[in-house]
Amino acid sequence: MNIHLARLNRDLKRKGERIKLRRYAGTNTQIFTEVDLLAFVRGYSPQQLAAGSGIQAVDSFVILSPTALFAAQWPGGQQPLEPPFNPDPHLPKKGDRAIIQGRTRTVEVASPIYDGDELVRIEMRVLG
Amino acid sequence: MIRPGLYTIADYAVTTAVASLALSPLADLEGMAELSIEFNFAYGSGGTSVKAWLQTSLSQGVRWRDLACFSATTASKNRDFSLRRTADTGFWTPGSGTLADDTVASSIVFGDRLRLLVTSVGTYAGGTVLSARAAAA
Repeated sequence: MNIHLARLNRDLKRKGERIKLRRYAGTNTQIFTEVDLLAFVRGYSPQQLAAGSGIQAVDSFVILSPTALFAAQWPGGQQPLEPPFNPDPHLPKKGDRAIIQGRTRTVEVASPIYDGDELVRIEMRVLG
Repeated sequence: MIRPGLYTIADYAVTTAVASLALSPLADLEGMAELSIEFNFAYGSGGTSVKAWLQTSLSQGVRWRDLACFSATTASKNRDFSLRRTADTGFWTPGSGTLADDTVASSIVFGDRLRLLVTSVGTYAGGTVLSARAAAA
């Protein structure tokens, strides 16, 4: 395993908080698929909340490891897109929900971080 | 099995008609001996019919073979069933997208992956969703 990913997994196991990530399908009858994860959840600093950044004081910065997402194969089979637009189906995306400390929050941005070709970390901004 | 557990095979929002649409597979499921499956079709509006074949592959995704076929039309529907590896007494000719509606294959083999192959007729709306969940062991 990549050293950065191994270190993140170890740190999450020691100090991470348990969250849930949900992907909804449907509108009238909503069906969701959920995965339990360990994450680091942080607020944004005053500098990051500067005017024009678009970041609100209630938003949070969340760091995830891809290991648990891949093990659970969340969120299941997806409709493949035409190449080259074929992102990793396991990545969270805008509109997914994160249940953090009992509150449902909405994923605004999820950024995959790669070390070479290997996905080693996922950073998200969640709203609300 | 290396990773027994509950898996979402797919939650597929059914909209415009598709023909033999292969959803991305769940992988790393080698060693499966039993599989409990739930198909759920949450109907919204419109559309004519939809079929989903649960498939596995013994050739790393080169060839797929049907394990079961779930069908629905214009009403919500929920079905579940269990599959277990069988010792056959003869050869079985596998097919992809050929199993009849609401049937299970006579011969069950499990590869290292599962996927759904979906065909729908007509345009569904109103948040119609086809979902399949599996408990693999």
